[in-house]
Parts: sequence; structure tokens; C-alpha cells
Amino acid sequence: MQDYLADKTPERMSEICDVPAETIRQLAEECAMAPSVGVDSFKGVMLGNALDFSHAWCIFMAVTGNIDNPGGQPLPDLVPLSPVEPAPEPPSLHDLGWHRTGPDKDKFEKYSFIMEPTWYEAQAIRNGDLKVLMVAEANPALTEMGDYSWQEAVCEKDKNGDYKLELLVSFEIMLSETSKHADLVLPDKSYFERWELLYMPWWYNFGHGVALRQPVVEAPGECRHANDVFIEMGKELCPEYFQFDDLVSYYDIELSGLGLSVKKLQVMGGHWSPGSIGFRKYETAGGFGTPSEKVHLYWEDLEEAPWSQAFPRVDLPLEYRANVDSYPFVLVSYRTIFHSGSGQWTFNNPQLRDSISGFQENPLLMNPAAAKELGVSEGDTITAESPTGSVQVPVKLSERIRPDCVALGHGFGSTVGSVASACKGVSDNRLIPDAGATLDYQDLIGGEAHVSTRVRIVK
Amino acid sequence: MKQVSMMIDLNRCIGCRTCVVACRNHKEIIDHNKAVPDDIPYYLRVETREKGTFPNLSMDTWVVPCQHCGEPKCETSCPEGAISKAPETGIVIIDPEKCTGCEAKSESIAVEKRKVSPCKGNCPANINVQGYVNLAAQGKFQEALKLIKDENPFPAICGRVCHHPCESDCSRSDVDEPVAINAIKRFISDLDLDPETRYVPEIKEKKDEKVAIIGAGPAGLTSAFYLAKEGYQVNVFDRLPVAGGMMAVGIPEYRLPNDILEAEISVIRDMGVEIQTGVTLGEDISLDSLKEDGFEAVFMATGLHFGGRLDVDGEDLPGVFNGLDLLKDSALGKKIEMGEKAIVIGGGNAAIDSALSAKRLGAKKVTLVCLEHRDEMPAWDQEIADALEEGIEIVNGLGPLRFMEKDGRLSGIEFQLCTSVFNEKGEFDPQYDDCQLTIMETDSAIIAISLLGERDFAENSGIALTSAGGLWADPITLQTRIEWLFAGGDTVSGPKTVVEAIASGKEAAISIDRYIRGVNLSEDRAKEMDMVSDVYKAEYDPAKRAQMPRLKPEERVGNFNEIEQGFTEEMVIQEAKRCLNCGCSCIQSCPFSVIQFDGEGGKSHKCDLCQDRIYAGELPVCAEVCMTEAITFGEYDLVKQWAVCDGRTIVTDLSKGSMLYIK
Repeated sequence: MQDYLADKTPERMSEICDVPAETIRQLAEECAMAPSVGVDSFKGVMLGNALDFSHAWCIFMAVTGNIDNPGGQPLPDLVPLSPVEPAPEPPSLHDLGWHRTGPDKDKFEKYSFIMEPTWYEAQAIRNGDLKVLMVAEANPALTEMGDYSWQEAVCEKDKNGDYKLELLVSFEIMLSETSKHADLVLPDKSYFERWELLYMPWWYNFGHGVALRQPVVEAPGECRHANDVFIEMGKELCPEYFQFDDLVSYYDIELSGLGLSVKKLQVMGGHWSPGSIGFRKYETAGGFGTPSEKVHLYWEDLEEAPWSQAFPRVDLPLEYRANVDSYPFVLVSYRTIFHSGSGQWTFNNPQLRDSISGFQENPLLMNPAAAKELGVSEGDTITAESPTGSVQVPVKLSERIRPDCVALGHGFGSTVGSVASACKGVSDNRLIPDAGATLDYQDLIGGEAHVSTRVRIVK
Repeated sequence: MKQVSMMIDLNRCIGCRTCVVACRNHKEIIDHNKAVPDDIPYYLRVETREKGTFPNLSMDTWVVPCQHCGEPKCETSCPEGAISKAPETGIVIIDPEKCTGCEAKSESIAVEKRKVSPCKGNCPANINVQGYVNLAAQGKFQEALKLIKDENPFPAICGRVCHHPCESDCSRSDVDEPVAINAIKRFISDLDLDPETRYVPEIKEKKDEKVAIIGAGPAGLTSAFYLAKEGYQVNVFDRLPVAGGMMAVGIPEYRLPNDILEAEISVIRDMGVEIQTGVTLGEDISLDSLKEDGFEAVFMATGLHFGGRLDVDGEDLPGVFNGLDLLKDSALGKKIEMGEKAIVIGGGNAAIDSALSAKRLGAKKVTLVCLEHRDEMPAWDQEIADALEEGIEIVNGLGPLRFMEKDGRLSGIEFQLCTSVFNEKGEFDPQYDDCQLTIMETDSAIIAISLLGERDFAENSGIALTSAGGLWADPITLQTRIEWLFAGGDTVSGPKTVVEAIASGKEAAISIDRYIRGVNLSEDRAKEMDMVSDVYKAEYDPAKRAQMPRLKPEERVGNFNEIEQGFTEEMVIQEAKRCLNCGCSCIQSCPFSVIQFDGEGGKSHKCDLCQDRIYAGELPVCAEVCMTEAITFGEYDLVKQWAVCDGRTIVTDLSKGSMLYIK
């Protein structure tokens, strides 16, 4: 560890991250002296160098004594909900070949990321494995990575001229880009019209818990919650797995593991959150859940990667450096404080698209110095090109972005709905390649390499 | 009067705009079914300021509600008296019963009523013209004067000499003729001539800093007016023996009587500005000496006080006058030997004034000769008409070749035919046919062709000059390359009008105030205005434009009596009623742009600090919903005291009304 850290001085790290060396020292001293330190790292794991970041984070937590320390990072507390049984075994994506493809299929073993259904779906449609797709609370045609590839896949036909995907059903409270491609659009219920049991993820420092979302207004017309439709279909198709009356009964079964029911939870104000089930659990368990029962700062299983990742890499990861000459800018995809959601209800909400109370369009943010070099001025419409797509977008100059980066707000580009269609904006996903284009990187580094998109600016 | 306030903490505000949305919903100013982005009323908005360059950056964000000003301009400007400050809270309230939306008709286009009227938009000094015209229509002249003087310290002067661009795009022109705005302003502003009715603005808290202004013309004195209003100690220096610059010595009395000028300058003197005449830069004072005397900033507004030369034979003969010297000597009461015949050379306003002055100084026949054809002459149409009315002969298309001499003095002028004045690029590039010569006999000639400024001091002081020979200053901030030295008016722009010099002086005052306070000089200085383009014209007062009463030509002979006699009160009220009320007066008056217009209701509306909630013991909605607790509500003096006791800094450039911004 000392050898590894020898050249990673605050001054050198400052050159990489732009945080002044003095600030780094000050932070280190404060963290060393503080009784506990927490790091909000969720955004970090979405990046291409996620594994490196997570690794560094774990080391930091360990050496500062904050693993499972109050105020630090608790080890997982899973909510002890009761399973609803019987439940079928899910199919093996690996066996179906939906994830790993091509001649190097066996090479890609490490990568497994849960947040990429769009690519799985597109691949499965192309393979001919997926014939019926029901989409609820998602908009894969616009707001997920690989959206354009997904649109192509659902329109793909076999040699007989028939659509490979035979039925696409879209559950929506408001028509979306996905609805445009659907054979059937079913009106869903909004958050205010439906039951829903929310599980607090374990990674929150205040521990686990559940919260009950309850209908406060009647849904209009024939709107039904997608879950209710699934339960009704399930009872017809495979009744052995749907031996409960309805969604509330389903939640009652789950809550029985906590000694609760939906009614009891309502009486409690709809919220059960007892806090952490304890800290420093490793003391009573006799160690950590690793083979050696110790914290591993050095990850031996990554020694033999094409590049050593046994310790976190601090320099720009390989996928960021690929195509650097052709595509000199790193694309930052971000959400504004006004648009944390990317649903149609956000982009068709006039207040959220109003310049005074929201964000009407998503110009490409560019540092003035970089723009000057390219002869680009504020408001110019340019073409941003990545290896897999391009968008035309106006430029907004800002000192708040590095000269080697450009940024696009996420979720824009919808053409469905009176507000969205009247406002401007482009989809950042047009530039971000789907997983299939970046498997060679992301499988090895364990992160989302396709978020590490590079672009070039063409006037 | 008590004043409630909101203290907005820039360290806490994250610009999330939750308050904007909550306010809209609480006040029910949004129709969720019909709302269209960028066409939704709002009582709050968020502003942002970034400083530095990557990676050394800082950013501030804050919310802007109605500032509930101590002296609300919207209140002054409302012709209906619909806006008032609640005595128990200091909240500025628009009474919906009294507000007519400035005569908004149901057919009025709401989006247009939110814009700036062309009269204000075209006024270089940005005066709320619609506001004072409508106050005048109701006989509220004192209120109208206050509104005018918010933007222009010399309204009585401008009422006589302004080229009134406010009338050029007046919407009433689409119906018949523009409203006689300048004449209305003149009547209102003559209240400033009477010590009983004149308006002297309240001086803010006295500041320790001193500002020196060189040049007591319209730009310099305007700057002095606004800086004095801000509380600065201002000293004005001028080489002339009188204050007023070209207003005093370049505009003849028949257009601008001395007592008018003196009355308006005396207001500035009474505000504490010290005007020292007969002081020459480079002799009596220097930039270095001013700095040594403790002046924090200097504004150069030295104007253009030298007439141009023709550089032709005989130009220095006795009987040949420089037009500017002639006007100056006449204004200062010096004896002038004017012959019976006078020829004025030049086609601009100064040439016309020279011609009319020559007539008043005894010349029986006055001829004006210029290069330009009649439609190319730079003089304003009204000035040319005045000249013709007084029997001045105008000869176009000739250029002087030489001045002829007999018995040691001027006897005539030989002219050559001018075939074109401007080249293809529109630049001044006269071409002549020297075979076509004309000789005119005369015993006096007046050269009134161009105005020049003194530049020696600039070269000696290291002040940059433009290629046109003017002082160089940043076009927005008027700051020169010497950071504490600002320059404006004609000395920078070349010859312009009085109102343009006033506008320049105002901008200089803003820059100097910011410079002394250490605030960014250029931020928010852009002046893009969205002007009304579509006005409701189905109903209007059918009266024709009132005509200005004028002295008959024979009454003007041998004297400098004022030609234009001014409107009567009845004429002013009737003329003001011809206004079509393009926009809303209060919206155009608000310096913070926080007033909204309700198209359906035809009324103005804005933040009332949720006074219904305040009376119920609750917080204004914006303060209630703020997730970062960036807004503290309370009595102004108490929240200010809290901020001071807590060691917080009051952001003075934002805290201009009754809201306090702290860091």
C-alpha cells in the first residue's frame, strides 16, 4: 500500500481532479480526526471507472475505521420481508446468450450490471428469444442508454417480413416515445392513485425500512396499476404462482416477516424504519464476509487483468482514453436540480420546462476556452458526434465545466405530449453507445464503460 | 412606517426554484391545464452570478421577489393610484379594484402589455414616458416630474432641445400623428423652475468617497446628479466660466433660455455637488493631482469645444468666424461685429443655429451653404424649417474653395460644385467639379462644419484614443484603461445629442458607484428591450396632435427670445389623453422587473409577501417551502441586526429595496 501511495501526492492528485492540494490535505486531516466519516458514493459507481472508485472508497473507509461504524458506512441490513411463495426460477441470461455475445463470449465473465435492461431487451429481440415485451414505469425508447438501438430492435423484422417482437405493451400515465412504438398502450395509475410498498435500500446510512404509498385520489377512467394487470394475467397464465388475492394481499405476505400488515403500517403512518440493526457486526460475527474474514485492500483477483487493478487506478481509465484523438471531449450526462426525473410527466410539466421555474432545453455546456479554440460562440448550433451517434444542439458557454468535457442534460428529446413537443432539447442517449459496443472495456473494469462517452464538436 | 423584509442567504440558496413553483401554486396564478412554458406568470425568479474561470470559480444564487422598495417607482408611476405601501408592514400592494392595467381592453394582447412602450424603448435615457404622459393626463404633474427625474436630471432642458426619439415610433402614429411627448415633458418639467414645485431627490446615506468630474456639460452633470444621489461627494470642474457645457454655450437662448439651464443646474448644486468653473485640466488640475487629493474615481466628460477648420485660403481673414466660437461668445455676452451679409458654411444643427444667431446679431441677409443636398443635410427637419421660416437662404451642393479678401478683410467666398458627398460605403468623401465655380459676396462668414475635442491632456496622461480621435472607453462600462478613470459623452462618442450625453452620464455614474464598491462593472448592463409591437387601436381619443405655439418670425428679429412658447395645462392634459397606452406603466417603472400582467383580468399583479399568511402568523410561502432555509422573514431592522450580529456580510448591490441579501 505504501509503495502504491508513494507517488499519489496531493499535488499530483490535484492535477487530475482540480481540487487544490491544500484542500485535499485539509480534508484528509479532518477525516482522520473525525469520529466518523460518510461518503455518498452512489453517483460514483455509475461511472466508467466505477470499480476503481468503489475500491478506493472501500480502502478509505477501512483505513479511517468507518466500515460498519456509526456515521460511517453500515454493512448491509436487508429488510427481513417474507418471500411470496411459490416463486419460479428466473431464466439464466447467460445461458440464453442475451448478455455475452460473439466469439469472446466466455471471456466476459465479470461484468454484470443490473441497470441495463434496454440492451438485454434489444439483444433478446434480435436473437428471436423475446416475443412479448411489457414496459411499465420505464421509457426505453428515449431515456435509457442504448435507446436508439432499442427502437431499431423493436422495429426489426425477420426474413418473412414479420416483426421479431410480436407484441409490445406500454403501461403509461402519459404517452411516451415507448408508447409510440407499442401495439397496445394501457393507462397506468400515478403515484397518487396506487398502492406501493417501498423498500429502503440498505446502503442508506440510517439503515433499512419500508414505506407505504397509498392512493389519495381516484384514478380517472379505466386506469389500472400495471401491477394489478400483471397479477390478473398471472392468475390466468400460471395461477400456482399467484395464490394471493391482490397487490395489498401480496404486500401483507411480505410485511408478515416484520410482524406487520398493510393496515398496521397505515396505522403507523405508513412508515417502518427502526434504524440500523446494529453496527460493528463483524465483531460478533468474528470477521468480515470475505474468505480471510478480513478487509481486503488489495484485490488479488484483478491482478491478471490486461492491466492491473489490484489497487485502484487513479488515471483516466482506458475507455476514456480510447479515440481521444478523434473524439477529444468527454461527454458528461447530468441531471439538473429541476429535472431529477426523466419521465414524460417531468418533460410535459409546463412548470418544469418554463425558463423561470425549470429548464426548457438542454444546450451543450462547453467551457469558453475550449469553445474559443474551435471558433464556437454562445448560442451556435453545433453537431456533437460520438462513435455511435450524433445530435445537433445549441452551445451554452460555462466556466463550470472543464475545458476537456462537454455536458448534456439527461431526459430531453421527447416529442410526445403538448409541452414536450413544443419545447426543444435532444437526447443524450443518442450519443451514448449501448452495452454491446463497449463490452470489451466494461467487462474487464466492471463499470459502465458506455457512460464514458467521448465526442467531437463539428461546427 | 414598519417594514417587513425577507433576508435571503446566498450561502444557503441552491437555486432549486421550489419557491417559484410553490408561490405560483399558492397564489393560483397558474392554470395547470393551459399553462405554456415561458408564458406562466411568476412572482419570484432565481438569479445566478458566476465569478472566475475554471477551475477557480465561485457561484452565487438567490431569489428575487418584489423588493417592496422604500420609495416604489411603481407607486409613483401608476396613474390610477392603485399601488401603495401598507403603512403597518411596508408591503407594496396593487389594488385590483383600482388597477386598470393602464387602460387594458379585453382585446388587448396580454403579451404585448408586458413589454416596453416604444417611447421608453427609444429614449436614450430610458424614461418611463408612458408613465408620465398618463400622470399628466390626470393632472398629476408633480408625480410625473418625479418619475421623469428618476431617469433624467435635465427634463426642462430636454423638453426644449431634445430630438425626441420617443415620438419616432409612437404607436399613435399608426392612427394619425405621434403624441407630442416632448411638449408634455416640457410643461411638467417647468415645475422644476419654481423653487416651490421643483423636485430634489432624496440623498442616500452620505459616503466618504469623493468623485471628480471634469466637464460640466450634460454628461458630467448627469453623472454628478446620480452620484450625489447615491451619497458620494462630487466635485465638477470646467474650463468655461459657466456651468452647462454646450447647453450653456452651444445652444442659443432662443432655444434654451439661460434661466431654464440655471434652474436645473441649481438643483444639482443643492444636492451638494460643488461645481468649479474656470478650471482647466492640464493647467489648474491634473489627473495625478485629483488622485492625490483623494478622489476615488474621475469621470472625463470634456465634450467637444473646438470648431473644425476648412484649411482653405483666407480662412483667417477678419470677418471669418468659427461657428462654435460665435455661439459661445454670443452666449457669454461678448460683442460680435456681424456684417450685413453672412454666409454660414455647414449643413448640421450647429450651422442652422449659427445662421439664426447671425440674424439675431444684426445680419440682414443670411445664406447657409453646404455640400449636401437638402435631403442629405444632417440638420433635423424642424431646424431646417425654422431657418427657412426666418428667411435664411439655403444653398445646397457647394463646397468652399477660398475666402476672398478686399481691403484686408473678407469680401466673398468662391465655391466649387460638390458632385457627391458620400462614397459607396456611405463614408464622408466629397467629390468636386472645380470647373463649375460660384462666387458669393459677403462681409461675414461662419464656419460650422465639425466639433473637436482637446486631446493633448489625453496623450500626456496615457489615455488611449480611438482611431476617430475620441477618448477610448469601454462601450458598456465607460472605464478607460486607467481603472479609476471613466470617460463618456461627446468626448468618447463624437457629437451626439443632449439626451444621449445624459444617458452616457447615467451609465458612468453606475460604473463609478460599482467601481468604488468593488462590484463587477459590466454585469447586467445589457439593454435589450422587448418593445410593444401590436397595440389595441379600436378605441382612442380622437383629438388631433396639439401644435406648439411659436413666436412669429417677425417677433424673433433682433432678440434671443424663446421661439417655442410651450403648451398650456389644458393642452397638455388633452394631448396626454391621446396616448394609446401600449404597455403598463408600473411594469416599465419597476427596476427589478417583478410585476406581471394578467391578460384575462387586464391588470398588473405581483408578490404581496403573502400578507394574508403574515397576518395569520405564518411565513410567506417561499420562506415556508425553502428546503435549505435560505429565506428568513421578519422586520427589516431586526433581520438586519441579526445579520450584523452574526457577522454576515450584506450584499449591497442586491439589497437595494427592502429585501436583504447576505453572505
